[in-house]
Amino acid sequence: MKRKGYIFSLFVFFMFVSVFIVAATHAKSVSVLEESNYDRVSLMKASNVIRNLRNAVDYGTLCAVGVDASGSPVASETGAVRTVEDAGMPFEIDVGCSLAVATVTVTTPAGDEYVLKIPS
Amino acid sequence: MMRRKGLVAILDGLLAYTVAFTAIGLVALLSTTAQEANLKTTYTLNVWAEDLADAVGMSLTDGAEDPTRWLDPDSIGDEKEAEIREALTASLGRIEARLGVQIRVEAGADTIYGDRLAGVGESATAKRFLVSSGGSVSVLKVEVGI
Repeated sequence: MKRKGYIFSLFVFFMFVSVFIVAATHAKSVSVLEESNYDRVSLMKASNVIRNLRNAVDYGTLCAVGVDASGSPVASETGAVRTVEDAGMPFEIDVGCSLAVATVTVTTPAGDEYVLKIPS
Repeated sequence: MMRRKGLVAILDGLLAYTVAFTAIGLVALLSTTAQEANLKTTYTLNVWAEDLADAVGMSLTDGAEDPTRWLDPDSIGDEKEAEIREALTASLGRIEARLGVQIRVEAGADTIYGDRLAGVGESATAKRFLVSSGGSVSVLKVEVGI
């Protein structure tokens, strides 16, 4: 009877340890997956937007640069191209232009920003 | 005898704690499994939205002048625009049925396909730029919800 009790206790203890280890390991892997998920989606969106800017839209339309009387470039902010995701939607994408350099900013739901700049 | 009763009580207590922690561990495992499924859904929906945006953008061209330039539907000829809308409606309807998702596509001020997503648990959006007549820029927006 005593031996059966010891064996039963040992069994319960090992079950606890194994469930605990599996749960802790899985929680860690999910948190790593969550971080890398945001990275992958953000960079995918940013590269797609940049490819769109380069290939499918006349870049001069987007980041038109004028010159002043002395011939120096004039910064151009094209407010029309700033696209912001609807409220409550994740992955906010913002495109701005300044001195013929387009800046693509992707903000993840966690608040991290990925900023890529592409010159004309 | 008294010592033995004390030992049994301690062991009973340990057993109770062990069972409690095991139950907590199982609950935590279930919740992280659900979280993992949500993360994979988020990634998949975003991939679909981005791919659909590229596919729709590539079809919004006039063809004659510059087949690589993505145009606002208002800048495409009426006949060509009607053909494009019909083809997109058929294709996106098939994709919706196959993937079991809801899709909505807006190009500039027009809705090319779908209604507002209703009853979806999660959705993803992809946006691209389109060239309008007059040289201004409008936005192509694709929403995918499941």
